Amino acid sequence: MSPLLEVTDLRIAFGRSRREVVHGISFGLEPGERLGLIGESGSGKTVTALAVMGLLAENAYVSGSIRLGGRELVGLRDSELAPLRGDLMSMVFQEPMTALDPTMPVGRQVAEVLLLHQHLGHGVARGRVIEILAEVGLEDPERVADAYPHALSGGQRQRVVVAMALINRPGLVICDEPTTALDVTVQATVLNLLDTALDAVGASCLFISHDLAVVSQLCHRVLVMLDGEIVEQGTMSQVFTAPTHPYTQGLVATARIDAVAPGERLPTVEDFYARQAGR
Amino acid sequence: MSLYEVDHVSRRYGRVGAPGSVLAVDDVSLSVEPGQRLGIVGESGSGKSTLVRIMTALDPPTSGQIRFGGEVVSHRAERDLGGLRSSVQLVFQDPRSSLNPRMRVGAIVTEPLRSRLLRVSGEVPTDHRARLAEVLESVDLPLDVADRYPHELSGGQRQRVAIARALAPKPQVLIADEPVSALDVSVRAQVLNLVQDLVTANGLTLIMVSHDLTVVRHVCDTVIVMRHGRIEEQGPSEQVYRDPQSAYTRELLAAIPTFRVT
Repeated sequence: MSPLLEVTDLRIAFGRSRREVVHGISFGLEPGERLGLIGESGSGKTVTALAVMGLLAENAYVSGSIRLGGRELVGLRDSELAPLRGDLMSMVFQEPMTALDPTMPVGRQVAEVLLLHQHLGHGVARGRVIEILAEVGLEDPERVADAYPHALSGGQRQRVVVAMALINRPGLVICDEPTTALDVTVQATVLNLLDTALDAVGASCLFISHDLAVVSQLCHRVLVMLDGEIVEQGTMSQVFTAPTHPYTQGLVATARIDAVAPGERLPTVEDFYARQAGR
Repeated sequence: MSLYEVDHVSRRYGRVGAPGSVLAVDDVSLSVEPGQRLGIVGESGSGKSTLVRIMTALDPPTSGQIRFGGEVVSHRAERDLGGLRSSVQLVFQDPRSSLNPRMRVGAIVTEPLRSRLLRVSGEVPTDHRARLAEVLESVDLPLDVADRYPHELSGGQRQRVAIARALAPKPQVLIADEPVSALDVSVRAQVLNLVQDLVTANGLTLIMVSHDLTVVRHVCDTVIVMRHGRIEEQGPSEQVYRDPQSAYTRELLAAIPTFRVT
C-alpha cells in the first residue's frame, strides 16, 4: 500500500536570514493510520503541520517533498492548494474559540466548508450539517447549529470544529493540540469522540501534542521532534517501554507523576538529556 | 489557631433570579493551618478560582466571612488589607498574561516591594536589589534575566519569574492557581519540584488550585474537590486519590489520560 502522506527531507526556514527551524525530516502516514507528533514548544511540530496544509506565512521557505495521495504539494500555488484544504485534508486547531467565527452561527460555518467543495442546495447542506453535528455527539444538533460560538461550552465548540474537519470525509486530519485548551473531563470525551469519528470516516490522523499520555489514547505510532529534527520514531509501545533517545527517556519519565511517591522529587527531562549551552 | 478561616462563604454573580445569575460558590467552609498544603480540585466552573479570589480579597463574598490570622478580611477597604496583601501571594496559570510585557523582569519581581500598601506592613524587605538577587537565585534563574523582558524567556522561565515575584515580599502563604497547566509536560515536573522545594525551604503555607488530581496528590497533603460551587469531597490527598468516596471524584480521576499501549 502506498502511503497517503509522504514527507521527504522537509526543511522549513523563515525570514530574510532563512533561519532554518525544521532540518530535513522524513516520515510517512498510511491510509487510516494515526501518527502522533510529540515535542515541546518550539520543536517545529506545528510548522510541520502548517507546511503540510500549505498554511505557512509568506516569509517561510519550504524545501523537500510533501506528497499527499501521490501528489506533490511543495511548490503549489495557494490557488491550487485551497481546493484541497477542507476536502482532502483538514485541521483541528487548539483553541476552538479562535478557530470559529464569533459572528456566525456555527451551523453556517460548518455548511461553509461543505459548500466550498460541493455544489449542494442550502436545504441539503443544512441536513448534512445537522447529521454531522449529531455524529460528533452534540445533543439537540438543530439548536446547536443556530447557536453562536459564545453560547456553547468549550467541549461543544471543539466538537463543532471536529465536525467541520470531518464533514467532507477527508483522507487526512491534522489535529494540533486539540484538547490542550480543555478541562480533563472534557478532554477525555473529545479524545473518545476523535477515536470513533476518525474511524467512521476512515481518515488518517497526524496528532500533535506535547503530552505523551494524550497521544497514547489515539495513536499507533509516534514521532518525537526536538529542535527541528525527528529524534525517535516507533510504535507507541516501543517508544514507551524502550525509548532510545535520552530526550524521549526524559519525556516518558516526566509523564508519570503518579509513579512517583508524593513529595518525592519528580524526574525532569534534564535528568536524561542536557541541552547544549546557548539554547 | 487556623491561619485561614472560611466561614459559610457564598458568591453569586448577578441578582437572584436574573437571567445568567450564577451561584459560583455555595456555602463553603474550610480552614487552613500554618504549614498546610491544600489542594483545590475541580473542573472549569466548579468555583475553585472564585473561592481563591474571595480568599485573597480580590472579590467580596455575597455572604459569609473570611478570616486571615484571626482578622476579618472580607468587605474591608483596600487600605486596610496591607497585612493580607504582603502575607498572601499569588501565582497564576499563564505567565504570558500575568507578567507585564512592557516591564523588565527585575522591575516585575521587585514591584510588590515598591507597593505603599505592602511597605507599611513592616516585614517587607527594603533592599530591593539584594532581594531580587536572592529570589532569582531561589528559582534557579541567573541574575542577568533581570534585564530581559518576559517575551524573551521560555514558558518555564516565565513561570519562575512569576514565582520569584510572589516570593519577593516574604509571604506566609503562596496561592498557585493552575501553576503548571499552561506549561509543556516536559517543564511541568521542573516547576512542581521548584514549588515544593520553595514551600519547604521558606516554611510556606500552600494553596494550589488544579484540575489534575495527580498533581495535587503529589504536592499537597489535603485536598478539596469542588463541584457546582460546593465541596464535593475532602480529606488527606493520598486517601482521596486511592479511595475516592464521591462518584464525581472517581470521574475526575478516570479522565486523567494515562498511558494506553495497544
